[in-house]
Amino acid sequence: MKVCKECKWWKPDALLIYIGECEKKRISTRDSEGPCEAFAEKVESEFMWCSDCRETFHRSERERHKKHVTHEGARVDEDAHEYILAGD
Amino acid sequence: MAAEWSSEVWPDWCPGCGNFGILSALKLALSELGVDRRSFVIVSGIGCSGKIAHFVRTSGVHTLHGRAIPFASGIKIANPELKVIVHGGDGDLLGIGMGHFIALGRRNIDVLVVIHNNGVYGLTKGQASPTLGKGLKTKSLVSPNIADPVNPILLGMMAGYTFLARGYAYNVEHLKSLLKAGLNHKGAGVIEVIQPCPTWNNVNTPEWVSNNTLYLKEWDPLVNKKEDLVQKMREIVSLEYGYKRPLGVILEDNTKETYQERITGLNEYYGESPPAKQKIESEGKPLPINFERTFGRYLI
Amino acid sequence: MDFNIIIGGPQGGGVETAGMLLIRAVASTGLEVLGVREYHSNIKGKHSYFHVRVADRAVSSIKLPADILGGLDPETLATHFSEVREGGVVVYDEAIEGKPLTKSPSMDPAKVSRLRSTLAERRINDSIEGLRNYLEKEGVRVYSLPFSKMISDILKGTSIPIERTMNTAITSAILSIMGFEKGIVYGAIDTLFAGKAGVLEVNRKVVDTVYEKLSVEKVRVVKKDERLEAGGKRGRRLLLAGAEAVAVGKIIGGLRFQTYYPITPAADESLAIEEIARVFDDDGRVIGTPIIVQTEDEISAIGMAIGGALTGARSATSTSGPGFSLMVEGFGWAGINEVPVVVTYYQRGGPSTGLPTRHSQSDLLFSIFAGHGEFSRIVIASGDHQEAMEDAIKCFNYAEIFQVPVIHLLDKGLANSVTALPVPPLDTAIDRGEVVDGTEEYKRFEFTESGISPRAFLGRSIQWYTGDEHNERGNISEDPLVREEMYRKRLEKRERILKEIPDEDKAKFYGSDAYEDLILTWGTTKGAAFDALPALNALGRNVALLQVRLMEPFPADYVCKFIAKARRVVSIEANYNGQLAWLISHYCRREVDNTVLKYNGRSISEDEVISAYRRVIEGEGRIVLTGGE
Repeated sequence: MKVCKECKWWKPDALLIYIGECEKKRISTRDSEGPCEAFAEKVESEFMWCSDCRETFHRSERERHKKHVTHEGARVDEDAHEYILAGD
Repeated sequence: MAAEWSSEVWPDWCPGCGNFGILSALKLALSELGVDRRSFVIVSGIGCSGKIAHFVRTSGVHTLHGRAIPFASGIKIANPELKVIVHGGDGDLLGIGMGHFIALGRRNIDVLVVIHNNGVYGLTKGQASPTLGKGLKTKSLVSPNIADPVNPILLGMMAGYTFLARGYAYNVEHLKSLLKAGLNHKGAGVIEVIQPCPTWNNVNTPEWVSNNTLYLKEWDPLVNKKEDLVQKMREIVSLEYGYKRPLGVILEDNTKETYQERITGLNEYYGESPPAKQKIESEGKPLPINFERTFGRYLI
Repeated sequence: MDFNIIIGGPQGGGVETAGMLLIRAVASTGLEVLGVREYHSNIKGKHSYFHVRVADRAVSSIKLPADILGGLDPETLATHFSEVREGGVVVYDEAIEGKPLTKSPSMDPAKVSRLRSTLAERRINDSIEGLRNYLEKEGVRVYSLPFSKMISDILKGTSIPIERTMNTAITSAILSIMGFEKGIVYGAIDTLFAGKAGVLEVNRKVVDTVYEKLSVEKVRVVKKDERLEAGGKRGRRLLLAGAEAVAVGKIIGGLRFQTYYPITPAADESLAIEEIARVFDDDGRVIGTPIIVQTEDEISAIGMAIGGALTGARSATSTSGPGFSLMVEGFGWAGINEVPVVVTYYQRGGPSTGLPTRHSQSDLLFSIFAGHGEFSRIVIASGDHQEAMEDAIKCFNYAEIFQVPVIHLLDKGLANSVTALPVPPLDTAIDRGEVVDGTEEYKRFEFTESGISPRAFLGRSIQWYTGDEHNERGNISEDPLVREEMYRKRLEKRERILKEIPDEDKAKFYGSDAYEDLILTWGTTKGAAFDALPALNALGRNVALLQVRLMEPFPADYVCKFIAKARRVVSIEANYNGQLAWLISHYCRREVDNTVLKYNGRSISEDEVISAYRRVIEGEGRIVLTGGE
């Protein structure tokens, strides 16, 4: 299914995983949007983001995330520093 | 001349203690510089050397072990018009106080740090200090020291100090000139003073000093251009790893802004009116603050 | 009118903004508001929430059950669903419909296992739908709205990320449900997104879309005749967190030098002072600027602050438990040298690293006794934002009048919670004590009739200070007579402090003089007890409240009179040992009858005070509260 969630260009938001950003079209979309003409198959990179576990993992651990939804990276809010509170 | 700089407190160091030399050099330097004794502050740590704050007729703040630098920093930042010198032992400044020693270099606050380096913790019976050579066993140690020593000149250099010098407690004239140069320098400075301790340290004696140190003659400590600093630092490393320990002014870097200048760069009002000089009340009440302009970000 | 809203989501994902948007919007109508933030020691990902209470009279605590729960993720709903009352509303994005409740990796395993049991017990299917069915059966109205769909339609063609608008969407929904006009939301957005034109415009569209959707669905919590109207003219107010209130107070009080080492929850205060940066007069001229130094550690922070105080600048350092532990040696130096330095101490869950972002009142005895040897100090505990702001000024005054180090004792609950305060009148006194220029013969520690030596600032006169015992000049002395007299001089200050500090700074009494039961408390717990007072009195006995503020020297003469008159004394505090109760038993020679304690890192809420009091009436001696998420 050629939806955003399965596409190589799409990065989910690290926290609200059902929304994210398309690197190719530079727009925000929901994970179920599509089909789209720019769709491309996902590619594995050294570090990947797992939406199920919500963590970054190294390819040496890819076995653990075999059945999970993974992406090349996750999107983070650049302005997050403005409202994050001191945590330690 | 130096006599008028003596306070009424009896200096209770051991006979022959190198601290007497440092004290004399300090009093002569202050006298010759014509320093205003009310706006000069000696901030010291704990140990024999720390007591120096009481022996000079000027303000003295005798603080906690390793902590003279924070106190001195607070005083200087709050009132840059005061001239501040730190006196402390090697154990105090380079052991427990090492974190603050490095921090002062990073900030380049206009404070001169004088390290009374006698290789031991004198007041507590002569344990090895961070500058005692490895393998050495003074008369006060049960076994030889098994930790490597630190080099305060090189450490100071890497931390960012802009004035580095080394002197010898029993060469008062020479030490006096180092103190004068250090006090005139604008920025953070370190003078390591080799200070014989006749009671506990029978290794680093005056004889050891005459065999293992040399007075710098052709050495140029000045750096007036930023791009020359790295080269000078390389030369200093070679110098310090030479056969003998060099005595004299080793670095005088005029290329860095002092901490006060840095603050003023961000906040010009600080330059005009540092914390100690600001008026904070008007007839016993708060200043006529305009709420909108001052705290507007919170108003709804 | 008294609403409790919980809005939650993963940290760093907009909950903070959503909460602030909500608070700002309701505060702008003149209503009273208190927003308490709960979050993890984490930058992004773990669960955090805002509990916002909106009312038409001042509130100082939060209350459960909640009327509205808004969630941006499954974890929020899974965590808070049982806190919503019958008839309340739950709102969330329909995009999370299919998600399970128990599979959020960020959820604490203990919570997951409790949740599994609850779901099994109540036969709730492990999914958002399952939860929805259950809640609807329990009489809760559940609205799953297509927020992300609405937003992605609005954002089509723009490069503005969806998260920049999710908070607005969920907040607009909540405000609409509460009956607020759209314009109020615009106002809040304009402030929060000032300077970001594209984002601002898009957010306004989001508000419009959400409001339209909800008017179509006719979702309202309030009945038409119960509308939330503007709370009346309350004049100009300050909307700020506790740490910011202290920052404002300090600056008004003349703070000109502050040192700090980054630590939660104190760092926010220093950041606020840095942002305020300059004090202006009516002509726009700078008439003051506090200098902030971030030090290399807490030991340096207290050292520098003391150095600054010696030069005559009003100096302070701001920290929490782990930081103060490091400062204790320096604090003792300030004690023996009679230095007027202020330590603003925000308690958090301990011991050790403890719960960096959670509430606690467990450092009372520590702050009173910290430091080897014996010396005078002042410890003042503030009970709410207003007090904290005013006490910040008083702490400086008392430090300089009595020449002792002062601890301004606060807590995380206060530091992070947001409320609206009236703008303070600028007529609190600024008293610098006895300051002199000093002469040639100046003795910093001169023995005087009053017990206080005139103080010359460093630079005005030659003076000595030393951590050793010293004579009047400040030079080392081990002489037995000098020692005895100087030691006593420092400790006798306690009597003078107790005589001169006014009663209102010692303790505050609320309620009728004809009380039978006396609730004893301190710090922000006072808020919950105060808010609960009418309800407690409705249970049959005459209940009053005593909030102790001056903790050291302990105002036994004043406080014990109240204790003696009570038939029953019930202490409420957020620690395990009942530290204030212990002080009372020591000073007033009377054991407190019932202790209500809480040490799970969450603030005490109004409803907890009421249910605890019921248990007190039934005879329970020691009650431990366990509410909050």
